[in-house]
Amino acid sequence: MERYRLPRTGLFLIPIMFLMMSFQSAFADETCQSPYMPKIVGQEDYVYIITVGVAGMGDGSDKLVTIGVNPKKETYGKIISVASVGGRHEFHHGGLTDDRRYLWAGGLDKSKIFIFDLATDPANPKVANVIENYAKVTGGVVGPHTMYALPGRMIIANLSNSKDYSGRTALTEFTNDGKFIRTIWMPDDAPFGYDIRVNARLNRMLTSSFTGRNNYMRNLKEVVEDENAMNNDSGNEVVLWDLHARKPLQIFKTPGFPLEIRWALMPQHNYAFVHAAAGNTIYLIDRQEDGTFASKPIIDLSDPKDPEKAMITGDISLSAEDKYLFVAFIFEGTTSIYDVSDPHNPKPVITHQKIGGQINMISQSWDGKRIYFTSSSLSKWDAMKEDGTYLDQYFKSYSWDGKKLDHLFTVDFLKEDLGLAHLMRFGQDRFYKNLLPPAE
Amino acid sequence: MSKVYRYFFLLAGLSVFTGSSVWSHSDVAPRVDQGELTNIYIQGTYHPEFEPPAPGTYELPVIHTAKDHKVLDNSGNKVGLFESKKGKVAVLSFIYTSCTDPTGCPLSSGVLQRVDQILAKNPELADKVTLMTMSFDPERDNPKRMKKWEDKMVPKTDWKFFTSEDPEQLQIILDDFNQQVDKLYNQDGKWSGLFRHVLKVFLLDEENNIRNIYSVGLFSPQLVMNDVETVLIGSQ
Repeated sequence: MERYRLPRTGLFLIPIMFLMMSFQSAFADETCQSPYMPKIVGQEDYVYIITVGVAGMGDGSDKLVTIGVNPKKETYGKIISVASVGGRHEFHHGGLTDDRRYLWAGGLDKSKIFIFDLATDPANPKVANVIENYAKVTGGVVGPHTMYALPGRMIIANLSNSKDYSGRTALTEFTNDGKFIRTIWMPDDAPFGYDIRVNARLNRMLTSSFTGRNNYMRNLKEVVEDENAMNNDSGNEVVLWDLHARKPLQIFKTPGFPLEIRWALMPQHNYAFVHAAAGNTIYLIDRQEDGTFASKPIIDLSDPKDPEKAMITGDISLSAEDKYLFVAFIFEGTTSIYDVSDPHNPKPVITHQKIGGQINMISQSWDGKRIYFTSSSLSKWDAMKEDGTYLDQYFKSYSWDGKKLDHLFTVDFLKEDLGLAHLMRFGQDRFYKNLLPPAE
Repeated sequence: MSKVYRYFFLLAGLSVFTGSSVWSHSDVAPRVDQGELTNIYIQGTYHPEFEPPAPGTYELPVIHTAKDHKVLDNSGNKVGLFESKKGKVAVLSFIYTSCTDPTGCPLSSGVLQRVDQILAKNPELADKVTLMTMSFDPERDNPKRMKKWEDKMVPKTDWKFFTSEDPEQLQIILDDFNQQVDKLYNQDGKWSGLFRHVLKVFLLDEENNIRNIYSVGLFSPQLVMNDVETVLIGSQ
């Protein structure tokens, strides 16, 4: 008869189990993912890039481009597959489901969501489903932006609405297979949306704010010169929510389009960084002793030689141990890296290293050794040459050792007739084949 | 000691207990690094640091309506999953008894055990709730083993333990609940005895609608209790 016996050393197992639960280093995956997802352990094999189609460039369609990034494979640095969706929808952001089997990619223009199957053949993703009637099912929400995994569901932060296409918008929730659950309109005092990030341990969620379809589908110069757009239809707030109740708790004033949010990942770190894209500022949103949160500017991104100049930022990325914060300066085409080990006293490590003519998204491996950059913001906002063609569009891979950021390879998205490279997500053969890592 | 830390040590103790039960079997490849199995983003020792919102102050919309399915109880009888639920609110957890991921099945079992203890102190509420633990490892978790698991949990209220007849019948159930479960293989292609499954625990209302899905990042006994009461308040 089987018996379950606690070994004689059982009492000593308790601290060992604590140690096991605490040991979380040397893994590879993006650091900005939902906490409910499994990580990819070890070297990633693929980076999936959500790409905006350009008329006259290749098939002109939005697409998901798969690039090999494992230096031990023949596909390293190469385009492995391209999954076109037929048509231009202003592809922008997306997100993986909690089981990592599907990647949702949303079009900001026509509000269609394309759901790509990654698991069946991770080197060749295919469209498995399309949510076509987004505005209708959601009660008038458009511009699906951040798609974020909750257990068994996706929560989406949107940019606009179908009534007047202003920035007034909502959060929406769907099941993993695309069935609508509910719409939660943003509070009246902070009606705009953009990003959404969760801190499960604290039961808190942060959302940020941008602008509506009236503006993001217009030429940037027009928007900047439109006083009404800049003053009345642009985001200046970050909202803190009770995650479980989906209720807003606090609103922080963070002028200048607060966009990407990154919660600290380590236990006991109860704070998040948010960059104000046109505000020359990184904000720290930090839990106070009474349990509320407070926001304060923590990094001044302005150019010391020209403090009035707007240093437009596109993305930030926080390393897994909460040590390095990467910032992308869109029109300078540079990245700066800050040591944020003490989040209240960030220190510059690298200042304005040139990556390309323009830059937007940053993704890094969980072990922090590989950093990836892409170039595109929005099709009508990206930098152009005088002849009307795009300045540059790329996917670039770098190594990072804590001191030096060294270029590894570039895929030129213009030369390859692909389009405008935007959001990145990682994939791995071993993960989808359900193989354990090799024993060391 | 605060409630948070009492729960925390319960979890740790359960992890030890669960781990030791596995080590006494040859189910698990001995060279698997336990740290590699904890494959979600939650870092360090997970302990929730929040007071859940009060029951009835928020909504839990219907996520999906689950179908009834035939399962095996721990006497080996084929029963309906919802027949066992008998119109109550239910908390359903999918586990396997050989699980060694401390943020997976041991966490789930620890939380359900605590919920069971809370319910035991409130018989009127307990009459309206069923706890259900279902194994997704029918090859090893037969009714006899599930009975042993039940004995370990020492249920005080209506807590039922199920397995399935075969993997095909199980897959129908997992598909309905969108619970992804994959066997993990060693490099030599042999099954390691382990599964990859992102922890999911389901809250069902009296009409078998899924009203919440918990995972390791948002799963505490008090949260579950408040959700149960929220569903019951909404039913009145």
